[in-house]
Amino acid sequence: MSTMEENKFEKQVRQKMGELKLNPSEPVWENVKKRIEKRRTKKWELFIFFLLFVLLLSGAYLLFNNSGELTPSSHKIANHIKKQPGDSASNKDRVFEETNKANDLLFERKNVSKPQAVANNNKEIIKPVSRNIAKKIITTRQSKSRIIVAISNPQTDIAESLVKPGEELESKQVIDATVNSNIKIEVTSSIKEVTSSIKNDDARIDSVDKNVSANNDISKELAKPKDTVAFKEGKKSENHLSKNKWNIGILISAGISHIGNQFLGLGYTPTDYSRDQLNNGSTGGGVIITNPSKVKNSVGYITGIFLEKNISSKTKISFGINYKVFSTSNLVGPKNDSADTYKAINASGPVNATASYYNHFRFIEFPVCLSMQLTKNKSFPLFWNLGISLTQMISSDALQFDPYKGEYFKRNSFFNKTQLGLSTGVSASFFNRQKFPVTFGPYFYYSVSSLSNTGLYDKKHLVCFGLEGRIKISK
Amino acid sequence: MLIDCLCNVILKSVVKELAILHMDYNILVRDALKLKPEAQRRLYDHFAPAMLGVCFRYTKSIDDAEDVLQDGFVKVFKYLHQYKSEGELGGWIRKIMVNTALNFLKTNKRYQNDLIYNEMALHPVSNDDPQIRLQAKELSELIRQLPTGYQTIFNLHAVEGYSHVEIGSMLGITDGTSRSQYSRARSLLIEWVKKISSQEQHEHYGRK
Repeated sequence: MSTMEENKFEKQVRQKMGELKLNPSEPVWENVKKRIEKRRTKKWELFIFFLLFVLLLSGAYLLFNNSGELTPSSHKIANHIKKQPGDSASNKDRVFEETNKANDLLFERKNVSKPQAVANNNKEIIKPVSRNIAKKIITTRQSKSRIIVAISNPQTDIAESLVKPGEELESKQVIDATVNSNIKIEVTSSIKEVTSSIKNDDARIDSVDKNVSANNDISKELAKPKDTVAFKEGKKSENHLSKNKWNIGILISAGISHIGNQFLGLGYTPTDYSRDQLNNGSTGGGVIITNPSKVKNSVGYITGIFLEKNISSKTKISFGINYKVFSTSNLVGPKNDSADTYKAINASGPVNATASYYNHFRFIEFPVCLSMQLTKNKSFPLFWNLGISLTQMISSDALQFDPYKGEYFKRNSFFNKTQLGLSTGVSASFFNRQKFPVTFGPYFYYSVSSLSNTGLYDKKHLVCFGLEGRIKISK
Repeated sequence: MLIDCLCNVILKSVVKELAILHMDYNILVRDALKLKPEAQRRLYDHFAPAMLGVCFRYTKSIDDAEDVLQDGFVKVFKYLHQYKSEGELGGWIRKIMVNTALNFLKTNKRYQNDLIYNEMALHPVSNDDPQIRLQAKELSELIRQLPTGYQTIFNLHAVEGYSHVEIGSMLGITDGTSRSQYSRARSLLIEWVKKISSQEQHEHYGRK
């Protein structure tokens, strides 16, 4: 630099070139503008696509979650019961009104809180086995007492049965009600009759007291069989619940990623540009063709969230959204700082140092996975997973190769941005009875779409072997 | 009256020019980062002529120079968030243009074959410093007549001010190669400048 500064010639050249100004033609700005806007639109498109996907997932989640309440089927069963002779909706309402009255009187006379009185009155009769399982209501009537036993399952059915006095104390009644033309509901109920005549308020209270004590005795007798039935029903409905519920979870996976161009990406043949030139018959002109170094495997990892649902006793389906990074590596020469290019290690000319360059491919992935249980062991189930996924490349710093210059350069436009992938694996389930069950096992991913149709990754497919862990955060 | 009007017009245009010269680049950059089209256009309009001059020096045709300018400005807007306001904006854009031009030369097949830097015997830099009486455009045309390798190294060293070591790492050559190629380029250019100057002198005397 010092020599240059001493020379007038360089000073003059620099001064003259500083004055050089040329007006570009109008299409230049138009093209710049278009390209800037295109980039902006692409970003927006990606964002809107992501937003729509999230909305779709949330909608599906809410839809399937709410369908568990099944209120329409409850109505159907209620209608079915209403149609039985001797019963009507008004009867049912009266029964509940009178129960409330009796509870109010107890509350006034015994100087206890209303909820307590209600609880005392129905203590043994309303016996929830579990939060969502059976509920039983027994109530009295002015002239003749009746027992209303309702075994209600919030998922599937509500059944009521009104029995006249004089009927046998224990009976097993099976009501088959067809809900939505296919669902068969079996309601097993134990019915107890309580007879008491209530003429006035005092007598009513006495009667209620008697009922309570009578119910206590009866309940003791019936406790065992009733609870067993109810427990079984409850367990059944709990299983049914978990079967229909969407579970949310997180996915973490890590492995070895690679590119391949043979069957299932299992083999890799490096690109031979000199051979390609021979095949094309264009070897003349003294042009030196340089081949790139071999692309080696490197680390790949996936992280994301998923929604999972049991679709049968042994099959689960899951949807998700993942952030996926696969990488490969190759040996390159020194970097040309200004041009963001790297010299090939076997290029002509001096190459002082070589270094491993890691090519990263970053994707957003939308996988759908089917898991089939292979073993019958419930405490340690083993699953076979099959998946298909749509992936969108969001960025890459992978190098392409120029065989004429013997240089690596970056050109993301060479890549096929949208890819279809297949995956398979085996996973074992751990901590099934804990709050956060975990499935863990090996998997294999193969990208059906080729990574690029030109350049260094021409007709090559991404593959990954790794270990995958899924943690359910809602059970 | 007429003189007053004329003075006013001149004064206004001078003030306008001064305002443009001293425009607050930070505001312009901030607005361009907010993707305001008018700010982007103003930024382009302000720097495009000088930058086309830069691209023109590195290429062999005005179409190629405009292609480089286009790619360069797309990069400018893409990486504008990386610009640190303490540096000179013009210098930052100029650096991007030079890098884009080098990339263009490396990837464009028309230039690739000309960009072979052979190791040459070190040619001493002459102390010859002729007076350049050419216009900027004429001088740039002469620089473009040099072989692509010479042209690139001459531009990088004489105009941009990069050292031979820096040029060596930018082009993947040794600093010795850069030095010898520069020396050859300089000699050729001085020869051409002298030739043109003497021709002009002859024409001048002829007219007399």
